[in-house]
Amino acid sequence: MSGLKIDNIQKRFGDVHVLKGIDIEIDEGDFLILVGPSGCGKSTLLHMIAGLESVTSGTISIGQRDVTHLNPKDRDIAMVFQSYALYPNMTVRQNISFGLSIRKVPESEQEEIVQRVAEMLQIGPLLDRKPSQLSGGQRQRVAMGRALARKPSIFLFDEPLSNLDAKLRVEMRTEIKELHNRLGTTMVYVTHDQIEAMTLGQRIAIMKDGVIQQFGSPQEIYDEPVNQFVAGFIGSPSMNFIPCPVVKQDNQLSIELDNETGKFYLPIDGKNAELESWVGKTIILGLRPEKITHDIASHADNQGIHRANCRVGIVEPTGPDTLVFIELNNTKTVCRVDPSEAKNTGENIDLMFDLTKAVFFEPETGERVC
Amino acid sequence: MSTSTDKRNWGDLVQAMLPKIVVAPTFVATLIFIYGFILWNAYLSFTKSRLLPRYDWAGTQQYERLFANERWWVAAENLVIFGGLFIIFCLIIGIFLAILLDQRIRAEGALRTIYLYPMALSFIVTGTAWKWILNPGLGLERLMREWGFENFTFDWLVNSEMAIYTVVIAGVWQSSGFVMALFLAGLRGIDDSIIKAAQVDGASLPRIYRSIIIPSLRPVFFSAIIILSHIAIKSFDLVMALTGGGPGYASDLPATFMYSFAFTRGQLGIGAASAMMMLCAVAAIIVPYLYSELRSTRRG
Repeated sequence: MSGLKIDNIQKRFGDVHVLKGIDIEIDEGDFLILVGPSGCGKSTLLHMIAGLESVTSGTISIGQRDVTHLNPKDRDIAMVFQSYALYPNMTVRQNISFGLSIRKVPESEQEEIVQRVAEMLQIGPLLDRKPSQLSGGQRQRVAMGRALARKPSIFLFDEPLSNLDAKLRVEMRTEIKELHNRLGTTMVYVTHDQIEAMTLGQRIAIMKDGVIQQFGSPQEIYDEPVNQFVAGFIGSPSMNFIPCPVVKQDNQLSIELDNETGKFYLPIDGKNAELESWVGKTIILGLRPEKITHDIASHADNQGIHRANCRVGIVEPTGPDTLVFIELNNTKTVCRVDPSEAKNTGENIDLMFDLTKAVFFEPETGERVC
Repeated sequence: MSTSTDKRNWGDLVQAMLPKIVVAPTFVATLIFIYGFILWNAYLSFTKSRLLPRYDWAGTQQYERLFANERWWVAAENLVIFGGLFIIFCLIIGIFLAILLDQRIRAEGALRTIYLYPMALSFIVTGTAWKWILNPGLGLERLMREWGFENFTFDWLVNSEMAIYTVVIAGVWQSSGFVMALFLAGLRGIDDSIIKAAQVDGASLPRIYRSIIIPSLRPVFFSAIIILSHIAIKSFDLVMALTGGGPGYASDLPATFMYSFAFTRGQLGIGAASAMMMLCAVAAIIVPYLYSELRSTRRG
């Protein structure tokens, strides 16, 4: 068993409370993503798992072993750094085998491991070069090779792709995922990029201000965010947050929306019990862009689907979809529309609102209502 | 119309020429007073000049007399001892201080200034201060004896075997802070996460410095050694202030040898020959350095 258990970890730098009690538990072989905006403490947490940063209170266990106060070298971990951190004076081969030679692995075995790693990452021809002679993507591979050489029980990744250009980043992302599938080793991956988080993670911990906001699978987090921060952080373009009055319309609990074309009401099905007390007050409606589409005839009879005609603001074609901006209750709202159905700025468009996945937040706290 | 264009052209011309006009006097002065005098000195070293310059050709006679002179060989041997020890100790102490200062300690700025401060003194001041400190009747030895260590002896300054080592002490004291500053800048340029990566790899801190950090400071070593060795070869004021080349000529260096033969003993020819030897030594060090530097800038 080489899962990871983090129990009520706290970290202070002087008066600054960086981590305010973090609890995470993952099983062996899981891919854990720590994601959050800059300064949320995710890198600090990773460095604490690595043993590069001391722990103010709480415990960290790898497998059944309490490693809270062990040195990095005794934790059986390997880490890939954002800046790659290759040893500039050594060749690629020496970079990969440095950790092995410190652990006194016999030289013939070292050579075998270097070959295996080089083959896995396709860096064979680069083995005798110095890091300064490599491109960014090649350095990234070497940094991963160095981590792979030791077969640790946990891999730690500290924003490993953020220095690569966009295309390479997508390729490496896929490779890391393949690597994880092949090795089945527990991995912890820090990123500020929510797309990386969604695509790579099996378990995602979204952090803000030293607190875990939500911990769950990518789909859980996407569909059932616990608060407005998580909902806005995950997903691109981000979720629409529209403040809207809750009203009783034709004896049906509805939300009131106001566009330049006029007011309209969308009935809420299924969540009546929670929203009954909100009648007459304003609530924040959270609706993902792909839930406001052009009029798709085949969906018309589905539950929770409503139509409305709205005035088009800005239009942003992305290729597969066109993003149409409309004003709802004086809030800019993004809709994901098929390019062939998109209208030009100033025209009116028939839109379809799918409220089955709609979420509601308290206006003041941003906490989820239902 | 045409006059205004002329004026503008004049203005443009002056503007274009201004840097050259400003630099010209310095350039001429350098040409005459450095390179011209080097050539003059080279010529003098092949003449029979004694108290005053004479221009009758004498072939390599002055060099033969120089190489037959025991005092020259003492000076040359002293240069090897002084230069070698000076460079080695400056490097060791400088790197050691730089590594200690690099550990994110408190009051680093103040400490750095303290160690770098001797560099702000002239070698004359350093030499005079150390002359007092090392003087057996005045400095350290007397202090220790007054404290009750009656048998304490530290008479290197007046011991003809050891006098050159006092020059090493003073030189190292003055220059190791500078080497520290060079290496500190080099250490600061090293990515923090390299150290972290090596820690995760299992290396101890001494091992990290030995296997990774110090080897990757090779360019800094290079500059430090070049700078220190030319300080060593042209060392003159330190020896003059500290030992005056004495006792006798036991702590002579080529520079003091040259000075005393050319200007106090009326042997201008030998002085010129010894100066040429020093020029050759400096050139042997500087030329490869300049070559590699210029080549790398052209490449980069």
